[in-house]
Amino acid sequence: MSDVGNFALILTFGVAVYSIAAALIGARTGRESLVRSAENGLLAAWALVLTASVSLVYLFMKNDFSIDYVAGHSNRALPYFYKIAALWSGQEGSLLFWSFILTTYAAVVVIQNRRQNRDLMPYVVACLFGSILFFNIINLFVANPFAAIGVSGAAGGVELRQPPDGNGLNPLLQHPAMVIHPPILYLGYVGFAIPAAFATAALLRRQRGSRWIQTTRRWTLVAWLFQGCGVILGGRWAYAELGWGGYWAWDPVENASLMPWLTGTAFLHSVIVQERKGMLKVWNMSLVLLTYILCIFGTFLTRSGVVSSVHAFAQSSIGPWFVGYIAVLVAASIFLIVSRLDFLKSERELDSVLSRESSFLFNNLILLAAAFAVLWGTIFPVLSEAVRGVKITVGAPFFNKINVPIGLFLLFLTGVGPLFAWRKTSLPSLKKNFAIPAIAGAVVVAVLVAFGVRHFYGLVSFFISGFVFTTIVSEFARGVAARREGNDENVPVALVNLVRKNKRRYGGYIVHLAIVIIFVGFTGQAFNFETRGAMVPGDRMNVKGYELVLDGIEDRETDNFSAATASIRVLRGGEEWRRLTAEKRMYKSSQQGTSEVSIVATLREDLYVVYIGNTDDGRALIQVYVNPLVSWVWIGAVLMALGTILTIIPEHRSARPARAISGVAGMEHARAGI
Amino acid sequence: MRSATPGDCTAAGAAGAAPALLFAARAALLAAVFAAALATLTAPPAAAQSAQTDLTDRGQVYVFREVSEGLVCQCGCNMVLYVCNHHNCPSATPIRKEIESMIRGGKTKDEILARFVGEHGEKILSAPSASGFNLAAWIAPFMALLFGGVFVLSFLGARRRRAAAAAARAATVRAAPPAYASRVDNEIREIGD
Repeated sequence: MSDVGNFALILTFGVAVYSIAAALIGARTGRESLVRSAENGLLAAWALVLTASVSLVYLFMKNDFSIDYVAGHSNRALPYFYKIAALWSGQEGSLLFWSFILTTYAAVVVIQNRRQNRDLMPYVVACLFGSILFFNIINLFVANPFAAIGVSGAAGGVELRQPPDGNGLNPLLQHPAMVIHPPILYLGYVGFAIPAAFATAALLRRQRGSRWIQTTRRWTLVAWLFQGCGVILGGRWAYAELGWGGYWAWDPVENASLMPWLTGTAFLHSVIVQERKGMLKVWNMSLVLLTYILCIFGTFLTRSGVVSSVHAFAQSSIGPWFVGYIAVLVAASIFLIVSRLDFLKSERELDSVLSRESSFLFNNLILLAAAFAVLWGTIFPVLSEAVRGVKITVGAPFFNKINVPIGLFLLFLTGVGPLFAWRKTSLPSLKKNFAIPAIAGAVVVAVLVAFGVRHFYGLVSFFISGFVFTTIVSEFARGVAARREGNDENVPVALVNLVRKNKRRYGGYIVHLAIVIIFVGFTGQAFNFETRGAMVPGDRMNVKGYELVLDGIEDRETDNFSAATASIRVLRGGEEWRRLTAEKRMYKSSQQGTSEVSIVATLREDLYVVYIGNTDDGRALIQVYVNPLVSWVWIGAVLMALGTILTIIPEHRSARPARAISGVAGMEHARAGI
Repeated sequence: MRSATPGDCTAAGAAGAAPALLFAARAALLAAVFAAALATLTAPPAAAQSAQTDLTDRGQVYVFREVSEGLVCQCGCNMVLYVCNHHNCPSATPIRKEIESMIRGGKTKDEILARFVGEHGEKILSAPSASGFNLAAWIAPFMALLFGGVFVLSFLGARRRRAAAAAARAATVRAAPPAYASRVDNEIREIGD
């Protein structure tokens, strides 16, 4: 089966080279048949990469430990569930998986554009195949998932051998969230390749309008949605699996996933200005290309080992290949934008600094500053070593100090933006619109201070959250009031119809509301509480209104791991409230240990219990965290996903599809939103 | 023509003063209830304590937390010392004991950190020191924000000036036809005379 996989990869290489040439020659000579042939090449590449991926999964299922990758990431006792996930658990397989998602997206693009965007398609196909080719070359020549285990033979040759069992999957990856987190994150990372390919095609075609934006708006939203969900799921995994009581540690790989999400968010906002006003064309081109480059950069960070990370499961020597690819992408992007500046001129001018357009620009500025701060902190250790020859660490305290104020300002702008009108806003109307949200924020702070809360950033965050929440609610309230007046509807019907009739605008507001909720969840971290106790069965520990009783420690064995399980009863007001089991595991094949934490999540706070181990005298060390408001992070994430999905659903009010309209008419037609 | 977005001042004005006051009162009430609920969750604990130390003195626990948040565990986990929860970690456990001992001996946070930097190098600090080359780590993001802000403001100013100039040109063009018409009228009158 490994031969089938390898052969599929080799064929993919051939198809990619042919299709790039066919697409570009077809575009130059105007031979549509060549372009169609290149597009069919993309469909063939999808089938081939699918074949290679299925082959690898088959090898995992058959426990074929003659294959290095299979032996390194699986073992006989590994549940089938995780054998599928093992496809993306290491370097070689995850790169193949990347190719699979990319070719899948590309195939959908080809099918979608059989009759439209015909002028752009040759370049889109060439760009997408360029990316596919890069990952294919890595898979074929640098990190081949089908490479057999070789050992030096007695005669100096290489002998193939098959060990009786594999090393097993990294225990930290044996968690349900890790089965879905990487694919969802990849769907985000790879998804940004589509708008970037259309943007590059528009540059190559010297296209003046914003058609590429209208074509790729949903693609961008889909990629952004997956990227956001992937980031949050990563946090959820860290929270449940790493056992230190938090969900975000500013690890370089976490940072790598956050950066393109931030620039993608900036793009989704500034693109509205281009749609409505024909402005910021250079900016939008730069942003979408930067976002894709940051996606590749993130992949590089995960795999190169250039920075220390808890995600060191996939490091190898492929770093220089990625550096070369990123250099090519950066150089080509700069060249294309600079050489096409004449085609990227704004179609309108700005009427006032106090306008929605300006607020979008400031929103972009803050988002990019946040992305830069994350990038800078992530690569600063490398810079320090290169310049001073001194190794340093840039950890969570740095990122928190830099990004908390930037994040709070960004949250503030989330509320301010809708208060501005397009074109021009008068100062009196701005003051009037600010008044009620500001009062709401001030009331929140006043009550918190009265209750004894003194945490500065906590108070600032709650003030801004109150401000922004009121802004968004008042947007809905005004819309509902207007509908009730005009259509004689009750409040729920008016609300549903309001959202249904303008999904893009109100879906966007729902996303903003979700961001506020997530920030409220983040702010809860400022008030975390923790304690630790060494207990024997029967002992009790009181933690912030919870009484924990250790009932006992039991050992258990599975084929995959041995475990010691602490059974804990939680009492509230003297009554039994919950039963928890916190576990320490030792995985047999890898001889790595993990802590399986027990979490009781409520809207108010999480009770987070970790069985750390035993003291020298045999007592169980139980660490307990009480983390306020964490559930709101996950609730906000779900709401963010729902709001984004709402913005992706097509509006039905227009008889003509937006993509059919171009130029100024298209911009007039485009609706406000996000 | 102005767009009738909900954020538009005309839309806000249409609501009228009385409903606006009512809405403000409701918003304030809602905010107060929300804040009261938050306050019960976020009030600081009565006594400072930490799961990572046996110290009980409030001031000492505070210093312990500050120091251990300023250091990185050296076992390879890359976690801040304070949150490293590996049982019997070969790095975190002895470092914590050493910190406790130095705090009991009256050492300050800076003295303790300096001691560990001397022993392990700068890489043990969880964030770069704000001096020398490392200052760039702290300053660059805010400098970027500052320069970005200046750029955006100058960009907006230039755009606005251009828009104003274009509007002035358009006004001149619009003014031309009446002048032209009056000249034609005069010429017609002269011919008629």
